[in-house]
Amino acid sequence: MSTMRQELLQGTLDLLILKTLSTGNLHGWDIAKRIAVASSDRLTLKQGSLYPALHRLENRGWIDAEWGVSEAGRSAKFYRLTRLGRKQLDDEKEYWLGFAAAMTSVLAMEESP
Amino acid sequence: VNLAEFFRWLRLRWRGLFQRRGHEQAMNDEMKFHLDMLIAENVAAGMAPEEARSAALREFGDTATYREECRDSWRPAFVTGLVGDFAHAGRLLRRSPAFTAVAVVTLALGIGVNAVVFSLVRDSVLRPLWRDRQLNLATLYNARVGTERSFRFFSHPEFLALQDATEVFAGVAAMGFQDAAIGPEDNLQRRLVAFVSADYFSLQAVRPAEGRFFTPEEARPGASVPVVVANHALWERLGRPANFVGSTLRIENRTYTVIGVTPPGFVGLHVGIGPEAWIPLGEAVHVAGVDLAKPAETRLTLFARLQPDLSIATAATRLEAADRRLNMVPPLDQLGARRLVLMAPAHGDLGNPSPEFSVPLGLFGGMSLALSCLVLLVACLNLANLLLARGVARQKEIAIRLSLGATRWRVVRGLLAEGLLLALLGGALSLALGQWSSDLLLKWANEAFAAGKFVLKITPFFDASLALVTLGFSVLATLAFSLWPALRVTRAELYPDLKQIAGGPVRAGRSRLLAWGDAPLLVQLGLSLALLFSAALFIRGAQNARRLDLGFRPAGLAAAQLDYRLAKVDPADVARRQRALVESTALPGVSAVALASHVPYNFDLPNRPVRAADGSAPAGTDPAKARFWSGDTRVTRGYLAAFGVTLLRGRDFTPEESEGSGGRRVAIIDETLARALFGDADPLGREVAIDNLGPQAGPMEVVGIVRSPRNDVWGSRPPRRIYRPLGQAPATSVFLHVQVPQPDAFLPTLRRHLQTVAPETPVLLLQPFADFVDKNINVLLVQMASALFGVFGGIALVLAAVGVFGVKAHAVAQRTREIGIRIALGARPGDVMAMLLKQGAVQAAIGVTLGVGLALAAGQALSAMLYRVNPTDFLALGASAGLLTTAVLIACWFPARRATKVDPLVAIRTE
Repeated sequence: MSTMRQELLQGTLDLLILKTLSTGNLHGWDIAKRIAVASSDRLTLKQGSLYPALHRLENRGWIDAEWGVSEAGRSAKFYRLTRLGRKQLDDEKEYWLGFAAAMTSVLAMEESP
Repeated sequence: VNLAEFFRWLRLRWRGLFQRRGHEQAMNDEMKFHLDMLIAENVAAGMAPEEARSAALREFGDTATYREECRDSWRPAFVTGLVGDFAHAGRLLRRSPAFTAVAVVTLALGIGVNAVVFSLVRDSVLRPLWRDRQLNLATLYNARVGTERSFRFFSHPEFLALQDATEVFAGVAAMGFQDAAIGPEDNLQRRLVAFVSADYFSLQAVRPAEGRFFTPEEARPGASVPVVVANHALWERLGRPANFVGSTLRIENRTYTVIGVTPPGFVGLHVGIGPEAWIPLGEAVHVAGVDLAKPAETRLTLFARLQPDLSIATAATRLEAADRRLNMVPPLDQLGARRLVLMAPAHGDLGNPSPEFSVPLGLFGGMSLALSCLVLLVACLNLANLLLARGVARQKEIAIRLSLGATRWRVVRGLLAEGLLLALLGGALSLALGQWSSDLLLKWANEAFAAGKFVLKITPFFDASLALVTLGFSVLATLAFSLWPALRVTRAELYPDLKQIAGGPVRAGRSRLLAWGDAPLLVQLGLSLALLFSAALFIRGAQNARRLDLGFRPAGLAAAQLDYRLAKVDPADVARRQRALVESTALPGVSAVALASHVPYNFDLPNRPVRAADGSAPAGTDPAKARFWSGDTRVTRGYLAAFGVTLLRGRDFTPEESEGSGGRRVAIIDETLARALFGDADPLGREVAIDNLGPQAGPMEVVGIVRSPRNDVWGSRPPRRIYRPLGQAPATSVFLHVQVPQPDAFLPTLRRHLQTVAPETPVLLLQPFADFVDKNINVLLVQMASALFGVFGGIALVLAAVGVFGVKAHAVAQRTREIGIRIALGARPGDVMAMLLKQGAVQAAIGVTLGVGLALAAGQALSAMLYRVNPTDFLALGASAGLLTTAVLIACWFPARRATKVDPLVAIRTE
């Protein structure tokens, strides 16, 4: 598999965040780390761009935030998925998988020599 | 969405809008934590601290952008848009300060005038009407059955009888007014005092600010309990003494104990003016000489609270039983049965037996409000013109925005924001303007009425309700008058081709003499003419009031009122003291001294029935009925000459007659009375008599005929009059008339002189005689109306000029290319000027034509308020139209001159 880092497609950051948060309550730094680990570092992401996305999702009611203490003992803002967010995650995941499957089958067409 | 989620959403929105600082802090902390973690990681990977830091920042990205994006997500989109719209509007307005200033001042004038007029109308019309409606009050009038006229006041037995008419009245109260000397011993002044029944206050639902009101026992005729309720204004006039309730006041010759004070602003049933103190009915005999225990003493005005389920109209149909009660009161009136007439309380008139005459206060209030709304409308039309002209000038910018994908709504919203910003600025300025003008008005009113006999209530206008109304006006004005221009300039078909506009079209279409876009301007001109004409009518009214043929000469006279009843003087000695006073007042510089029992314009002239002493009557009249009510004044020799009354025939009183030391009983009458009594026969040498005069009764020989001086402002002609010599008909209260070249400067001398020669006699009044006329409340009303409407007209004129100037200036700017081409093709500056002025003249002509109808309609509506002015005064109409046209042409001339200076090359190359 190629190790080339991929630019994020528009609109996918929200899905990434929602999915990451479905694994537990996390702060921004954790989310960035987990995305990097899960994608084996193949997705490029300016880490700061997480924050506007987090605030946007919070405003839409998909995630909720709460101040807590990080493992390092510093206070940090922890995000968690809300009921609405979980539903949104399911919808977006379904859409993305459907989209990906459609793309894959189109790309699998035989090419003329 | 469940409730918890809704509240979470609400909390977020709230924080986003109003708790920005906390939000900001949290966001910064959050991002800093992330950065710190990144740095720590880099350091752990072996980087130097500085390097670790810059690497972390690279990895994190552009912090400022992310922060801004976060902020955007906090506030709802519409708020962002709104803030943006207003910021944009603010920037645009700052960029064209002249336009902004004109628009803001225009609106401020319109709104300010409305606010001030609204406050006046609210206090003088709306609140009293609301109170009357709320309390279901009505005034009762006492008419004779079968006649349209012959109203009279009520007697006390009649009042008692009507109190029992509970089928229509829930309560009846009585009041009467008397001009009386009132105050502490050392500061007596002649003011209005009311004698009232015990229910007077409770029927008006008023509670004492301090102390108590009267008991029924105190208010009974003959009770003779000397207690007084003071007007709050009296307490203020006396310097707000402590322990006022319980202290004593002197009214005429009697000492009264203050038992209560009315709440501030209460003046009784009337509007604006009222008595300074209230005494119980039983005291009327001491203060007014009105013995209410006598059945024939009719001095009371009645008002009632109707039963809750009745209106004035329905109650008026159920008065049969009450009428029966009225007619059972002995002694039965020989003149025939009487009946009750119910009317809404008259607010402007302090005591008139008939309902016919009442100051048209409601009308005045309504018309002022209507005309001030018209001023606002003119201001708004003006604003619409300016915005439209400005919008047209900005067509290119708007076209670009629309073509770049802005929705029409978005652009309209931007233009509305501009209008709203203007309105808010205008509203703020108008509040300042209103505050200033109301302060001015209060100050003026207080000075003008300082010497008056009434308590005048003018409350400070500016309060929360007014600010709210002002804000309402501002917002309404905006919505109404920036929406239309906004929609018009964003109309899609105006932009067939952006490129063409960018190049600047030659707007041949705009050179038409008239276009729909001119409609607001034409309407504005029409309304302005109506306002100018109304102003002209009122100003003519004020002029007429000033130029009124008084029939006497107020200038060059100083007047002092002395009431010997108030002095501890032997009544038999009064005449001698008065004579001594006249003799001693012949000081250096004084050309004449005279006494009179009454003066014109002072609301106190007694009317008496005069008849021919021999019982004769002119041919064709019934001798039994030949009694003519005439104003009776007792004067000294020389009074008529000093006062400027024209002696038509005969002679003045002789010294003997004047002093009462000898000679026949004589009188001087005026020409109308003479004609009424004696027809065309020579009245000199004939005898007249006045009934019911007691010791002064008896025939008097007519020795002179005068032209009657006026007695008030409103009367269509002077009253019939009879003058009697003071010596033959003594009066204890007299006005000293002193003829001097400079009455104002003479007053201190006169005061010192009076203190020397008559130290025991209280001087109730000391003023230039002209003050009786100039500060008469009706004269002031006429002047006030002319000032108010003059301001309306002035504002309308200024706005018309400003509006035309703004529109023309923009039009010329728009037509720069066209004018440039015309000049390039050989048009001379004069041609260009003529073209533009012609357009202005046509517009003015159409506006004036529209306005003539409006103006005449306004004149008709105002006719009841006008003072001796023909509501279709064509001179005033012509003058107004001329003034307006001149203003329009001048306003056209400046932009037109600028147009003639257009350099064709520059104009064609650039826009």
